[in-house]
Amino acid sequence: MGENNMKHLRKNLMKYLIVGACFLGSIGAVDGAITGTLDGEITGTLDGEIVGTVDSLRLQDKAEVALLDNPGYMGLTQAVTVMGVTNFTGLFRMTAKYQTNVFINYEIARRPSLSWQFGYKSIQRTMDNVDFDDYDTYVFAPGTGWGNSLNYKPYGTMDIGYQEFTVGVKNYLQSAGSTAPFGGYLVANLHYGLASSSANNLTWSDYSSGQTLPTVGTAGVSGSLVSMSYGFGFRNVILDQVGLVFEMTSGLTMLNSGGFSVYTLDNYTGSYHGVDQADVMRRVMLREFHKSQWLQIKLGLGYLF
Amino acid sequence: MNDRLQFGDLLMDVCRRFLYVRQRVAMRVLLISLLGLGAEALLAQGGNANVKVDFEHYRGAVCSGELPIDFKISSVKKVDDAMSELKNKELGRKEAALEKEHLIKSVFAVDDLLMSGRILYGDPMSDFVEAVGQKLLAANDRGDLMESLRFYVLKSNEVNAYATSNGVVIVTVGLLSRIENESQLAFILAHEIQHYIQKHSLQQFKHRKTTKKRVRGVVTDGDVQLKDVYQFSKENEMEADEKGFEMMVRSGYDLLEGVFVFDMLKYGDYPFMEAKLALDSFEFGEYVFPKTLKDAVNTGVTAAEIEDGKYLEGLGDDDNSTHPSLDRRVVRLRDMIEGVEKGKRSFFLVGDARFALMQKMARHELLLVYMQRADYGQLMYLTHVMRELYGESVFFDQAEAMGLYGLLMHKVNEHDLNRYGCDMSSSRGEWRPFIGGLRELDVKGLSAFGMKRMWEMWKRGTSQDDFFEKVCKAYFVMAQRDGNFRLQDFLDYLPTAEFAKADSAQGVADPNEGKLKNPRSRVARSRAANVVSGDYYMAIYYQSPEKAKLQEFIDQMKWSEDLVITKAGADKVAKSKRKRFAGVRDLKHLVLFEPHVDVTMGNNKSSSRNPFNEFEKRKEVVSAWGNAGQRMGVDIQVLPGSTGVKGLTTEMLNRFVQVNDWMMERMNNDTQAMILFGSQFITDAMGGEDYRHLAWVGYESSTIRRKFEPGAMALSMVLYPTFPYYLYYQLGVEKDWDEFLLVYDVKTGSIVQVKEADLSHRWTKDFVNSRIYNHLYYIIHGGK
Repeated sequence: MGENNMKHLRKNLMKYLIVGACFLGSIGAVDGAITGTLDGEITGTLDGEIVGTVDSLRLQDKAEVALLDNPGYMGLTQAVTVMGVTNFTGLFRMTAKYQTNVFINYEIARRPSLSWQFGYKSIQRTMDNVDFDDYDTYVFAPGTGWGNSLNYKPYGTMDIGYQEFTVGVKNYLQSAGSTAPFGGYLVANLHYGLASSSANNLTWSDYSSGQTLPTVGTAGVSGSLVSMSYGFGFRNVILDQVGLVFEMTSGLTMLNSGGFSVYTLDNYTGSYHGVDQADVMRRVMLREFHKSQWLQIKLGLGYLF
Repeated sequence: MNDRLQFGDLLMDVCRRFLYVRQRVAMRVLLISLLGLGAEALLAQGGNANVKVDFEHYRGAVCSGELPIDFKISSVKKVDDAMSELKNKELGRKEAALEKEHLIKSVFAVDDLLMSGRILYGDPMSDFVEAVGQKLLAANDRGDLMESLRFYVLKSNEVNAYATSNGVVIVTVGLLSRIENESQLAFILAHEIQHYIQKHSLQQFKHRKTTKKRVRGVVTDGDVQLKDVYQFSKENEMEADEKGFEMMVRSGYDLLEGVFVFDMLKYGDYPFMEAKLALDSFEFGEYVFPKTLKDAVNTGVTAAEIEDGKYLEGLGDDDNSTHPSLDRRVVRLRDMIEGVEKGKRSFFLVGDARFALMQKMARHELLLVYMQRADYGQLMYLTHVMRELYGESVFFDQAEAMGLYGLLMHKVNEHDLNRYGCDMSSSRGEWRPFIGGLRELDVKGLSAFGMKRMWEMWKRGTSQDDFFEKVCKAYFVMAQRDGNFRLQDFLDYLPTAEFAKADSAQGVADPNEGKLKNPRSRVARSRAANVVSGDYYMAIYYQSPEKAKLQEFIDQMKWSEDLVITKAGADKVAKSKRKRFAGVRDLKHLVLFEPHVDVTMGNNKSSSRNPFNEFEKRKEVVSAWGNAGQRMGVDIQVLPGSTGVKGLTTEMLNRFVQVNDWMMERMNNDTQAMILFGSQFITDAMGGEDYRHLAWVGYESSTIRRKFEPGAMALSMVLYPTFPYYLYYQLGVEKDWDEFLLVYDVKTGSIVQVKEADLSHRWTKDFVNSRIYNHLYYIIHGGK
């Protein structure tokens, strides 16, 4: 089941990435408005003015044209930023939770109002009973089917980890005097995240009989998510090349490898559905990461170059 | 909020600051005189009645001699020094605060004016004013004031004089061009000196602040700031009249001339000399204006005269006027004169020769002032008056040509000509029929009129002058291109008799019923028909004895693409091909005017500008430009625009003024005329061939706290998730950032780049740095 899901996910992921890349590419090329002809002769137009005919126009040339339009902050058009991210995972739960992690980001400005960013984020977290209780998670005794009174619930802790790769586009607000990568911006990101459990100390036992199920370890407790987020932020420069960045984003999951909807709170599982502990743990884990995308506040330092 | 200036206001403010400036530069003249080559020499030093000024090729007065003390000390230091004096006085807290406010406002307003490029010192005019002032002081045993009073001349067409509380006495060129003898000037100076001695400015300022009554002065363009500080009450004026009169009595000047001074003030919006110059006076031979045009002008004049009735009533002694009624002052003055023993009194004590020179120079200067104000209608009238007074001169021809060029350009672009010296409601007397006519002419008519005038001047030999020829050509190109005027029209024949017949046929339904008989072609007949319909009415000089010469003139006025930079022309080009700014690849030096900076802070009820803060911000901007230049390898040279700049000399000031004049004219009028006029001298003033790019920048920033909105708060508390957004809004400020950048290429006389932006941002150092760096980047590399 898990493998099928992964295949399905990979297929879809490729689709999204291609669509996303085309979208980003089209934004990048608007300025240049470059039209190609089949015989290799390419005519570049800028604002409708024909600037010349060249034999070939490589990607690099396009980049040069774009960069010419963007002097950045004092000529600096790239930035590496390290940010602390606070993810709020349980805003609507009785016990709201948040975690602080690190997000590393490389940004390259293409136009005064536009830059691309590529980021990496890693989250480590320990889940405990409280988290599992929140989902009212249990499995039926294997093979007993409906009506059996043996419901196994998890007790203990489970360490989960998440690595996220981000491709994003930032729209710098020129009406507020921003020039990429400096000033205020709107941001839209596409994320691909890999989630897995690094340690599983959960014991699955039935609350009435005290029977426990054999532990399954971390095998099979992994999955992936494709999500998007959007928000705003700003970078102010405190030293010539060092900027203070504040960003707030909000996101949602578009695809997950758990094979379930992250929006329906149907946790009813059992052997009848062919679901075991590993499935439940994976789903809970992915839901946690899904929720962590609802609201993220980032504060960090950027180095411009 | 109310005090916030919009960017347009900022521009206007700046323009006003620099507006009246003239083109001058006696570099060439100076060179000639140094080489001892010419009769057209400028000899010039202090009080020499034999000073010769080249009026034939007049280029405006320049400051000379040592830099006066007012220019040497920075505004901030002046305030600091005066503050320490103020501390020694025993004043109540409130009074001290008022004196401090007056001091700050007054110092900054005067310094702004001093550095506006409109102030003259050490030239024949200000020397003369100073000499009369000193005579008055000496005769009244006020030697103590000789040092503390400084006399300057302001290049403004207003008829006015000022005395500031820090001892600066300013007389305008407009006033100097009108006075008829030295006594009149002495009367005015005595009056102003009394304002200074009696400290009227401070008195009135305190009075206004304590009674909260704002005296509504007639604030015209120019010295708005100064007028805000220097408003006097009627009592003040009466006292200054009275005590000034006593000074006059002791000085030996003729007393009755004071009466004429009041007359002069009363008729300040008439031309300084009335010479009959209706549109008719330009008609001769076959050159006739159509009846409809004349009717329109006459109707306009009549309407304006009716308006005048109201205007003159308004001159009465009402509560809103700062000055007592002039008539009442005249009566008082006559009473005072009668009480004085008759004795030998004189019109001239300093000397009539020096007066005549001063007057002539002031009148020439006035032409330049009108030129730079873009008051072309009035300018053209004055050139004719000047010809009556002083005979023909190349300078008058240049001025008239520029007036014609400016008018046609604005007419082509369908601008409101009232703004270009053709406003009948603010011009009185003989100005009216003339400017009314210019206003009523259509593009084709004005083209024809201008061609005819230019040909008249060309015939007299002005064509020897490069500048005249350039303007002339540019005019012809514009007339052809934008006015759809065919040169052949200029040569077509339509005899006066036929023309009159055509004109009288206005009411006839079918124009052909006028039975025009034109000896030439069908085309000519159709043109004659056009005359009837009022389309145009220009047809001259066929079979004229001067036809060959005329043809030669027309031949010279060949079409030349590179001469055309009219807005209409540029728009046409822009429509067909929008250009991306390509950048100035060879930018190595940039001459930058000291930036204009306005910073307003406050809340929605009251906002204020702090001149000290602005002073600091200006320094910040200058240093940011310097840094950006350093990063990009451009040498940024800043022309000082404030007093007390290290190393400021008269030469540097003259240079600043000269460059400034040229640039401001370009901004105000958007005509080529002044470029053509000034470009031949501007290179020297800029510092040589290398310094060919000139930039002007202005910044205006305001941060206004938002007013409390209880309704929004209540609503956000009901819809509680929105409360943080309410807080964000309420605790935030309205940020506003306006910037303006303009870069010229001096060599080609074209605008390299103009950028204007209105953003929402507050003043922060990194933001300023970033904006400025980007501006310079785009100037060099191009972009949008």
